[in-house]
Amino acid sequence: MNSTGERLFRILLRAYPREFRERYRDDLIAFFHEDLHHPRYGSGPLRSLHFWTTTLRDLARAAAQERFGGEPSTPHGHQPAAQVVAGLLFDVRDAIRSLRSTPAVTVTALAVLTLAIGAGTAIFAVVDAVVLRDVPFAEPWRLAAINEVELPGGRPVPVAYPNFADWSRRQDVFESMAASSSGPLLTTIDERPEQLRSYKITANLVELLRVRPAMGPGITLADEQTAARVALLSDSLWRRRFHADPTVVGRQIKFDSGSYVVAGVMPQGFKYPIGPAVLTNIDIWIPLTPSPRELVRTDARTYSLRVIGRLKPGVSLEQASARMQQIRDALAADHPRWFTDHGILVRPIKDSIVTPSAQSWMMMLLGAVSVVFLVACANLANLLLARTATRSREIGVRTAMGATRSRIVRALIVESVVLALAGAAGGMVLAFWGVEVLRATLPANLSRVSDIAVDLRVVAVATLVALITGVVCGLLPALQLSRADAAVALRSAGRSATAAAGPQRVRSLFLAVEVAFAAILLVGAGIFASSFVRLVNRDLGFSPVGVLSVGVNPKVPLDRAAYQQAMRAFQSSMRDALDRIRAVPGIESAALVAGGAPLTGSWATQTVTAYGRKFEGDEEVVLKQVTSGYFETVGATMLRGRGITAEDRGGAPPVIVLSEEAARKYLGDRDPLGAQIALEAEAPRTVVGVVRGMRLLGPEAEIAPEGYVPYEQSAEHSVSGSIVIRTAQDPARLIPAVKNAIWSVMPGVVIPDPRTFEEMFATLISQRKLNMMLLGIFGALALLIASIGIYGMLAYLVAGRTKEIGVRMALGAVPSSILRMVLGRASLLVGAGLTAGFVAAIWLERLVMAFVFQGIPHDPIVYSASAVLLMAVGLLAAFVPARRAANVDPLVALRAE
Amino acid sequence: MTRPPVRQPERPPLELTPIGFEVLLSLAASPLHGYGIKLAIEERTSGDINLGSGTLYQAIQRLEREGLIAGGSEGAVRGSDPRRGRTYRIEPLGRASLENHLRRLSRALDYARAHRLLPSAKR
Repeated sequence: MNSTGERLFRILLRAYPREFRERYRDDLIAFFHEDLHHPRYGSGPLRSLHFWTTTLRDLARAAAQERFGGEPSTPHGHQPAAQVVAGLLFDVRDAIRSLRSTPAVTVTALAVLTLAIGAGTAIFAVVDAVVLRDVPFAEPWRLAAINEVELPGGRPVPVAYPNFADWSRRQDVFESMAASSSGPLLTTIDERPEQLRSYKITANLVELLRVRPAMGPGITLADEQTAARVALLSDSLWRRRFHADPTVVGRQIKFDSGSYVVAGVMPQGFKYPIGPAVLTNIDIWIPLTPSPRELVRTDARTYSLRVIGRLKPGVSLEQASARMQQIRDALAADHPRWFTDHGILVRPIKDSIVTPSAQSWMMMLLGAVSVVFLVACANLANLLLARTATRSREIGVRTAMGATRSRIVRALIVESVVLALAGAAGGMVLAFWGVEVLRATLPANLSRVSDIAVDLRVVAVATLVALITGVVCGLLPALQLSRADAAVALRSAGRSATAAAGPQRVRSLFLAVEVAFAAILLVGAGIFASSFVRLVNRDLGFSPVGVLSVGVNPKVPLDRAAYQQAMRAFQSSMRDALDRIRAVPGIESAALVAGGAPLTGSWATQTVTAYGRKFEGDEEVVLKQVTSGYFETVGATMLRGRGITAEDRGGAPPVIVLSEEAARKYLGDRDPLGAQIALEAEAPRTVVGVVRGMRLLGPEAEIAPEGYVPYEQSAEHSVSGSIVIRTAQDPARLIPAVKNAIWSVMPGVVIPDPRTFEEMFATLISQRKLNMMLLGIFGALALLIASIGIYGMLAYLVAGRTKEIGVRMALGAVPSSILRMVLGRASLLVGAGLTAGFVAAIWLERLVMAFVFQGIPHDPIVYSASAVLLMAVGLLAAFVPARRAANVDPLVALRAE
Repeated sequence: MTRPPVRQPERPPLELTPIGFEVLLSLAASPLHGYGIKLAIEERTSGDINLGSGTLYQAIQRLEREGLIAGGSEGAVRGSDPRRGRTYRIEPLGRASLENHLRRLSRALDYARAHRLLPSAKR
């Protein structure tokens, strides 16, 4: 606290007039340091709060007197400013003293607030960074994204080059319009080649964003028009590969596809496009130059551009949108083929960054955490009500001595605000940690994940919310109490708390509300958890455990003859590589697959002709080219016949293995074994086996008809392929050996990061897992807070009714009946809250159904499990005070007053 | 701008504010630095008067301007720690004003005791 505290104090010293400050600054700071260790500020977490309120109060009063006059000897100066500040600080000090006098309530309230504000702040930080925040460019409100939209439907799609060119020429609402599109992967030429991500931009894009390259001239209009091979480097690439060399501009970088001249380095932190990490981690920006074919409107339409514009000053988004619509309509008249199914959409750039589904997901999380926050607020209000009820005598004394109602209300609100702000401070610490965890856990395809942070903006919002919470939660007991007649309060306080029946009823209501919110969250958590269990237990049709997938991307020559030759060379190299990999110790089996390894998300289909019928479009077969050992390696189940073997060579009779679904679809009731089917324009193949269908795209995918042909019998397969490897060891540990085996046969070939099937599976379910965990945490928090509320309420009740219980026992009530009475009261409260919560949950359920896998509406298991859990925890919380009540000694209780 | 303390020992004793009086009383025995003054007052009054830095230095500023005390680190006190801030010592005018104030208090106290306005110290 020393250095930060001193820095803060130095800033605060500016409150003094200059003359005073200059003469006494060092003395004041010396005083400050010594005072830090003064014993009168107590110990524990409230110490620094006590110290600072004291210091601030003194500083505010002295500074106000120095500036506005008044005598040091009169602590409450006559200047209104000084008076207000001094009065407020007095209230704050009073509040802290009072809060310290009831440590149990204070600590409980602080814990509840810290947890709820911590969770809320962390989630808000995520939602703010992903959805709410504007883009990090100058005057972001003037930036618009311009898309084409599919008609009907209105789904935004990228823009075709001729449309961008015509829009730019005809429009008069934007300062300029710029286009960009993803560029090629550029492979560096050196020992261990690296693929750099490039992005193509028009020359005006950087200027439109009001950014300047950190060095170099950047991409010029001439570069764009002449398709110059110049490149802007990202700051990280410049540091990583060029060791931050200041003379890099003008140098050549060599890639396998040619070389580029460095035209500049972008400033640190520059990101474009904005979006998920896979999109924003760009290493190199190069000029976007259309090919001559793209400039004329032929029948072939390619939509690939991301277009943005900067609105002219004074032009609104609506005006721009209307103008662009006019331009589109005029173009549609000239080129009807291009526009019958395409409209135009102008929207704020921010809205184009996050998909609507991600937006609603974020809002769902924010909604869920808000419910946790509401539980905490109800709890805080309840704690404060209980607390003020025990202080009615003190308030009565104050009122009797002339304290005005507004004065008392103010004191009580200040107390609650101080509490809320202290809770917010604790919550912020929790949020810092929570955000780290969330940032690492959120799916990488979510926009702007790396921007998530608890920054000033988030802190400000959290503080404001805490302030409002404090005022609202403090207002309630304040009004309740200050309404009380001083005389009544003086007479009744200290006696049975049941005398105050009104507050009791309000508190029961709050507790029921708390339980109801907790019930809603528990149902939500249950819905997510049960759906997640269904998801991970779904049968994939193969076994991902212990399987590694290694992709291999060879260089591809573009002309046809060279392509054929390269492909043949690649095939034989892959065979050799496969043999070497199979020889690596610890590898049980290995096989090659082209057309997309399972779970990678890549796949290809072909038409099928069987018994004179051709299956096209949606009915095509998902086709993979595999070597022998493939089915064993991925753990598929052969149902009939055989798999692909080493004998299925180029010259051998062409064969195919079908999945169960494919056999049924293409062959109907006929016996599949021995049947003939043809793919695309090929000669027919004989079906030699049937395999169980697989969910190749992950647990949420439906099973599509699959076909497997021998790798060496396929003419038209992709040049790239994946090697799948099964091992009993940790598959990740085999990666270096496997890479070396491949490089020994194909030096210099690019091997993108190998991944295990389990990793890919984990990625596929990560968002659902995160949802389940977050909702689980929210549910647990709500349950914890509600049980604290139940405990506190009943403990207070029992304490207040000790005399009554004593009388009952003196009259012959047995302890078990007292226990029943208290627990009955608790189950009544919990039951009422539970019922209300379930009614709300049944209505709210549909809001989360879009986020779960195969959600079951009104799932009886979820509801009954939530009810049992809530009731059990509620009764457990009630049991401690109930037992205390049952153990009341009638003699002691009756003598107590 | 700092006004140099005006030294006019021949000037008549000045009236003291309550805090000014406490500060002078603390400095009467020996020179002290700021926080030392605060601790001395706190100890003497059993914690009834608890000065913050702002209030204390407001009083010090006033006493310095009136020439009742003088501050400095120029070896005013042997063994004083420069990190604790300037050390203040009482000036002749300050001592005269303090004595004047104390005499008046003493007379008031005698009167109060004689008329049983205060519980007697002995009993």
